[in-house]
Amino acid sequence: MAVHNERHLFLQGGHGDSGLMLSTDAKPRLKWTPDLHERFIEAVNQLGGADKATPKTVMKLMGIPGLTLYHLKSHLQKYRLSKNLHGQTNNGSTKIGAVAMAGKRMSEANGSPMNSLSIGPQANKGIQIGEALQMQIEVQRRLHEQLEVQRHLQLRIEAQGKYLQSVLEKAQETLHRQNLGTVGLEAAKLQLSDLVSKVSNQCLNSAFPDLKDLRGLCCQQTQPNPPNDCSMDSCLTSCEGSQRDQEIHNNGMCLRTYNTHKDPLMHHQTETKSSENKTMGNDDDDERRMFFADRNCSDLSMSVGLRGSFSQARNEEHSFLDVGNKRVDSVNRLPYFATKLDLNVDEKHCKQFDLNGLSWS
Amino acid sequence: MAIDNAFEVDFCSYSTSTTTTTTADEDPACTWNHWGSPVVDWGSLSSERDEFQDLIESMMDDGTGFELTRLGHDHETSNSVSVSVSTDTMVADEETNGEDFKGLRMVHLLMAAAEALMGANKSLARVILVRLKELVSPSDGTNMERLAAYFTEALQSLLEGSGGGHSKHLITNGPQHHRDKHREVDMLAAFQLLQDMSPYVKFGHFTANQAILEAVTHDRRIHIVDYDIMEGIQWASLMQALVSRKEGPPTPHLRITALSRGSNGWRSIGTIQETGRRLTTFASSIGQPFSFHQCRLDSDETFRPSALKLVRGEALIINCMLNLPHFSHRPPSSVASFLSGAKTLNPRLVTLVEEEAGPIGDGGFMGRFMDSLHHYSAVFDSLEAGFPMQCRARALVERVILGPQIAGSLTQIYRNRNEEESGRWSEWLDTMGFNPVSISFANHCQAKLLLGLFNDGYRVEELANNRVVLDWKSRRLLSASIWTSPPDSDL
Repeated sequence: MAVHNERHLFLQGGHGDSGLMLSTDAKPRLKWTPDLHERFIEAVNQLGGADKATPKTVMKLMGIPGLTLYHLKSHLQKYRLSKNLHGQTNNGSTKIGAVAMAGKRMSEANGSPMNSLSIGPQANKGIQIGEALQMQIEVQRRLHEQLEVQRHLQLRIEAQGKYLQSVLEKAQETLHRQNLGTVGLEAAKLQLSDLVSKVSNQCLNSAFPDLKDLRGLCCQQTQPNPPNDCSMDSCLTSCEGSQRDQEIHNNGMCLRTYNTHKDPLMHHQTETKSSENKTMGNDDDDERRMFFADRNCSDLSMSVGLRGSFSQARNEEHSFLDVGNKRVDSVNRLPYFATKLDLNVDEKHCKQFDLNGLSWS
Repeated sequence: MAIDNAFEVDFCSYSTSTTTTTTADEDPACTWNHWGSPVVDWGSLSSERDEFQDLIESMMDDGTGFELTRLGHDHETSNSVSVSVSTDTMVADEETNGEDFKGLRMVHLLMAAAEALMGANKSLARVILVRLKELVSPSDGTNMERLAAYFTEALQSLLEGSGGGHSKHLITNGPQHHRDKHREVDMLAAFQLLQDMSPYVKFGHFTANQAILEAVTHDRRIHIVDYDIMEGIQWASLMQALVSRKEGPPTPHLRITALSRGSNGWRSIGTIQETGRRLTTFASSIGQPFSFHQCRLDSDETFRPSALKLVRGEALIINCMLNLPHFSHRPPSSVASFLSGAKTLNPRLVTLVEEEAGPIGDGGFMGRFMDSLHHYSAVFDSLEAGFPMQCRARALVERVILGPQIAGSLTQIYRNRNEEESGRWSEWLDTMGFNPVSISFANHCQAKLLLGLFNDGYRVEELANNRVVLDWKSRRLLSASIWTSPPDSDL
């Protein structure tokens, strides 16, 4: 739908009736003039605020022909982000919002967050460069914080998962010892393990829908049982680990420290002999293999994530999957990727993507 | 009409046995009025005869028949006969009704049963429950049917608890000797499924943990008093976070005191000691210095602060998780004693997670009952929305975790039916003098990210600076709030 709209705009060219200024780039970009922005804000406020408004309703309310959902989606998102900052830094001017948005667009376009000297014309009116820079830094800080939160969340979920596994194992061990020969119970346990692994498998599959075949890259051995959410978490965590790599450009050290951190846990689990419990042995190998294949994982996770956010042609996805070339792009798109993360929860239109593409809906 | 006559007969016998005020007027509508409590105006209902008649008919119809003698009526009147209304036309009617109508009917019946129970009208309640059982099913059918099954079951046990009668339970957990062994396996599996399918457990835990982490960044020793530790999973992620924290003294010592009660209830996964062992093992596996203590509550579950062992220099955290899906309902007096006792200890932080009830106003018992129905309806819906295909998994979670939760909730509502609206514990903390602690940006962010992992019907709502609420599609479900002791209180 987005592609069609873009073409539509391109054809519309420079008609100024609707008040829309369309640039003549290859990718038609809508220029958000202060007037247009004012109307946008009016519409949003009428709808009850940035969080309650959706691109569709804003579009209807503004009633400007030629203004598409595609434009409004990204603009609303930037507006929400700036609103967050607006709340945090206690500034009451909508101009700040415009600056933040200008700054944000720049970081996508240039890929280099600190290059802030060429601010768009709409922000020039009375804004000091210093202030704009400050906003930029603030935006960047927030994005970084969001990334941190994301990483920590993964680790914490994984810790809970590991703990629950150990509880499960101990309980089944005890039961096993107590109930040698109770056929019914064994069957029940198998059934339940089956249920649990089915649910986890469904989650895993829906999380990486296009990656089922690519999991071959990560797991060099096909398993009889699907990996449980434990290994899924560790796959994501190892992806996180390599994301960190890219940020601090220190690959070996990061992986090593992470490895030692995890090892006691993995060792703990190899103690169990319970075979009903979703092939723990396999999971260990699975985890290790996912570790070493993390390069692939990280690109995959990024591309899955970005697929939803850039509703663009298919070929762009495939180019992301190409391990070597697009690494630079991935890094550059990182801030935008993270922003999508925060705001997507509210947004009805970017459903399929959350947190590295791990979406369970 | 033959059926009408049957009705007349039926109500005559009812009115003589159950109400003291007999009436010469044999109009069913009028008789009905004598049973209801003022809350539900049966008079207004009866004026619309069709709807009313339908309700009665729905109770009476069906080939399975419905015998008054089953209710143990001892009195003999010439009119007291077993009424098996031949319902050929009725059955056809029923089949053409839509799902919604059936759902609505079930809700009406549930309301009627609850109402009857409130008015201590046991026989009527039993009648209605029997009819309900025919309509509902705990394992098949729609969400509404399963939900109604659990509510029916809960009402049934309330009924039995308050006056005897031995009807067959709708939801059997297997013969007794198998039950214990299956129980723990069931419970564990169901808990794991619940964790995977919904954010209900993680939301409270992670919000509390993040607040705790932020409060203890510069401390070397941390002491957490946990009101209801259950299986201890909350602390696994806290320990992980403590081990990998970057600011302040690395890996502070963590001490957890769990409150233990006389009996843990059948839904607990092992004893407090076992939880302690598990946590200790986990802590050592990740290199977290850790010690575990128990503190016994009195027999009536009152908390005595003096029973707690405190060490100087520790940052004291009070952690109070109430009514998470797999938790047992604790008596309000116990919670109150815990929180007020906590105040005397001057804790650094108090984390409170509780069920969020809707606005009830003057609803009283019926209001709370309906609110509970809405609450669990939302929970069932949320599970289905995320996992529409995994009926068996959801059925397990519903049977093992949510069903007992519903029963506990109704029991509590019933017990407190004559008391004032209890309100939220967070409000109580406020009036007690605790100060709110703002929930940080990182915490909010984490909550949103967490919910983003699940279905997009979940939302985080910020109701106050220090309170976030987990919603499912505009129904508020869980509330997490953070508090601290006022700065100038004396010990």
